[in-house]
Amino acid sequence: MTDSQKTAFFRRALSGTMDRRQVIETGLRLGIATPLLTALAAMPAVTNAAPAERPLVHRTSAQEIDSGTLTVVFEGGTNDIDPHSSYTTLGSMVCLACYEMLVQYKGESTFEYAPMLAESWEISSDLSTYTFTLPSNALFQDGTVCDAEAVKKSFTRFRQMERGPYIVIARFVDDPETQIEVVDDVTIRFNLGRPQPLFLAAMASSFGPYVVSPATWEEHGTDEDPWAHEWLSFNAVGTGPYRLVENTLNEGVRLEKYDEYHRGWEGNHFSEIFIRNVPENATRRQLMEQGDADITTYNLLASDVVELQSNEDLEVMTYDSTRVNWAILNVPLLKTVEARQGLCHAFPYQENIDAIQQGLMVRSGPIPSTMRGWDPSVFLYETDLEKAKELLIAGGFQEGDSFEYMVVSSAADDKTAAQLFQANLAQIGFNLDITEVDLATYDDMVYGDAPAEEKPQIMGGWAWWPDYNDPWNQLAPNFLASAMHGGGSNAGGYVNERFEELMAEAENFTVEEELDEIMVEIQQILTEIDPPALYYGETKYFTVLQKDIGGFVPNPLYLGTYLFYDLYRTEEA
Amino acid sequence: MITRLIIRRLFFLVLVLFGLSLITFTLSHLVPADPARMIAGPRASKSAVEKIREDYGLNDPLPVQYVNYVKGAVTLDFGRSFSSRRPVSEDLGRYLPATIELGLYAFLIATVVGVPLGVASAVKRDSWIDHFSRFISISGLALPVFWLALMAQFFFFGKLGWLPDGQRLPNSVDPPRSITHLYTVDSLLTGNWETLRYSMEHLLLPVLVLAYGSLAVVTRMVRGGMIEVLNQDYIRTARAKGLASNEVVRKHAMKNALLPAVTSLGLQVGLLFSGAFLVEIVFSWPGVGRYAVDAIQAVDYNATMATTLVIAAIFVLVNMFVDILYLFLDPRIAL
Repeated sequence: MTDSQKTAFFRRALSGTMDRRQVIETGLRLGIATPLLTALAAMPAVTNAAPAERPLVHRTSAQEIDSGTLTVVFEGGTNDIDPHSSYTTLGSMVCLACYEMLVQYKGESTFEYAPMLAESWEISSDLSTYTFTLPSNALFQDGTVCDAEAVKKSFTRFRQMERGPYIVIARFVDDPETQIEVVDDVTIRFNLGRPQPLFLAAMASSFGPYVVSPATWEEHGTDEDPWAHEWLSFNAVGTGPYRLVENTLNEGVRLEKYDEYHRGWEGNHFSEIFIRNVPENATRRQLMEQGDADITTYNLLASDVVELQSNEDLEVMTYDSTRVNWAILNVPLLKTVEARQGLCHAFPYQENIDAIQQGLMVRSGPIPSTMRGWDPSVFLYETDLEKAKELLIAGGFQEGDSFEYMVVSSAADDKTAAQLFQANLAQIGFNLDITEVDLATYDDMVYGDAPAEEKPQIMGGWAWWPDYNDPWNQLAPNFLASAMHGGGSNAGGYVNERFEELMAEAENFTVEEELDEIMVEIQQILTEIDPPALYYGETKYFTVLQKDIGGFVPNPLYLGTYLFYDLYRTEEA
Repeated sequence: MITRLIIRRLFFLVLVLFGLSLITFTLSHLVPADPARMIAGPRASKSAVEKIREDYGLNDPLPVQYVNYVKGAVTLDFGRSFSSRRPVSEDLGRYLPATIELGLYAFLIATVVGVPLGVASAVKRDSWIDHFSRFISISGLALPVFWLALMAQFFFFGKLGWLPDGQRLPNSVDPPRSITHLYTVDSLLTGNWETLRYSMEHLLLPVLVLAYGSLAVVTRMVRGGMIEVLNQDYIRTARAKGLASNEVVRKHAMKNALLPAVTSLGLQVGLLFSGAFLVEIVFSWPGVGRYAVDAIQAVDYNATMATTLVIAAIFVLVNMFVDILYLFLDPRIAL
């Protein structure tokens, strides 16, 4: 069509003088593309026709069934799978496959334990001595024997390396040489020196207390790195059911079954695990929908989870966690308790839960309902804008004042919550300036040693769950004065003397009821009396898995990870 | 002439790389995050963080760090990556071939499809092929590559199930024996037809998405050049002499019309690399683009600077090659 033809066409179209043929022709041209694209978008997904991707279950002997390969999708890679250093979900996921703790939490319980590396254990009546019996056939994946001496060496490394989750052991064992006793080849005793009711809980943590082959640092250690941390950051040698085959930051982690695993391979198990690194949320969802991935946990948007619930091929499990989400309040910059209380009254809690979290959150204080020490009558702030305004003004601020709210730029849900909060504050005459930063900057702001005065007034989108079922462990790294300036994540510079006293008591408690009483007062301080944070709520976790995957039992403390040995595919070839 | 050009260009390459290294170094050190803390992980003790700072030379004054970095870079020693803990040059050797394979095919498609499409749309102006090429050009330039990648994946993997979602090969298929590190070439050289099929299947979607933007530019450039040349007197003379239209286009018009397009092809290398950063994220493609994104997020100075320098060097070298090619195509330039 030439320019003059185009001009004539538009003139006729605008004046309504197009003839029937022209109308039909143009309509057809315009019409063909639109329904085609719409139909394509609306059509149900076709299952991928490449069956090679999906291994089938087959019986390898009278007692053993091979479920083939389990494909897990995860949002990123990890550069640290050293069990005594790693503090990430993926690190923990790999460690739970390649290594073992002495004990593990039993099923869904956060109060009961089951054997893992240790076959059995005995606890002295005063709770100060714990004796574990190891299996006589446990071998590390490098072929060396896993005896009591090796376990002692491994715990010595964990304690002395002082990285990542070392407080899990440091709370109980200060001098491993004298406190850890090798009774005989298969018996190891921890002499804790005083009653320690939570030692077993700590030993079941998925962060830290794994048993690593001492041969690794004997072989790969150097003068600068005697514990071979660099080597173990990308390699794994434990007694666990799976051996690390490949670990690439960009692609993922490959594991295969360790034939000599001391619990054996009777029954139905996966022989290979592939933890695939898929950075894009939409791709992760499509992989699940197409059946190209078997399982993913807390790696999709809440809105995706709601939609996937209607997918007949998938099972969506939602369950309680020990994770609490909050915004860190900067105590020095917010000047007064009233100001912090005022901000707590201004947050749109219910809107956040309903509209953003799609119901996958329940209101809570700093201690989740699944943990010991939780107070069912904990004080919860209601959204009350009038009261918020009153408190903010009483707290030294005036209408027109601005607060800075920092949030991670990639956290879509947190950003939306910040906008709702901004709208609420705007209604009462205050401004909320939302600053977006990348995760590295955010983490540095939280964990770095800069004083609170140099940080924003509110750091949104923070979340925490404990290493093991213990409220002290949940609160200490976040709110103790010693957790400031790089000692933890007390980025808001919170100091409360009474809280410090109570926490010291909680750290050394011996009777469960005492701990509950202490925690009631602590929760009152951390919420109503002197809040260091604005608690959004307790997260409901979700796992999306193919219908043919069995054996997954969610535990509120093993969040985002799997006990791979327990998983299997139900479908027979 | 050519030697002088190469020497001059190489001298400029050194200057460009020096400038770039300075800018990247400054920018990456401006980010208010501590890489030592990132390496140590959360809750690491202060002494552990301090030890890492010492080990990686992060306590040294910035000028000293920069000089040390440049000294190493001259010998292609870009230091150790904070994330992978391996030498960065080793990481680049691992990830660069995946990006080169992606970029190479995208470049080929942009050229092989873009040039004839541009010529055809210029010769048959205002015909359906011209409208089609205009649609390709406008949409290719207007649609963000990230969105296009997501949509392509949504339809061809999510809805139709025709093509894989990404990665270089399926989980169950082993890579071919490494010769060039380009899976398609290696499987061809080793006669591994099954792997060749898989790798091509996996390449198709990311390559098409990546090629789309460049295709648009090439088509547009060629069309513009052709229209200009077709209106020249000597073309009219050729027609008047009774030469066949096909011969006029092929022998007389195309040669001259393609000159500006050749320059634009060189510039496309930059576009392809920047596109690869996004395409590799969507298609979980284990290339240098993804490596760079991860490095930036992890405040991995060494990896960030090395990827920037290597990509810049490739860009400058390709454009130097294009300039040399230009000398052959148009000897007037040498005069």
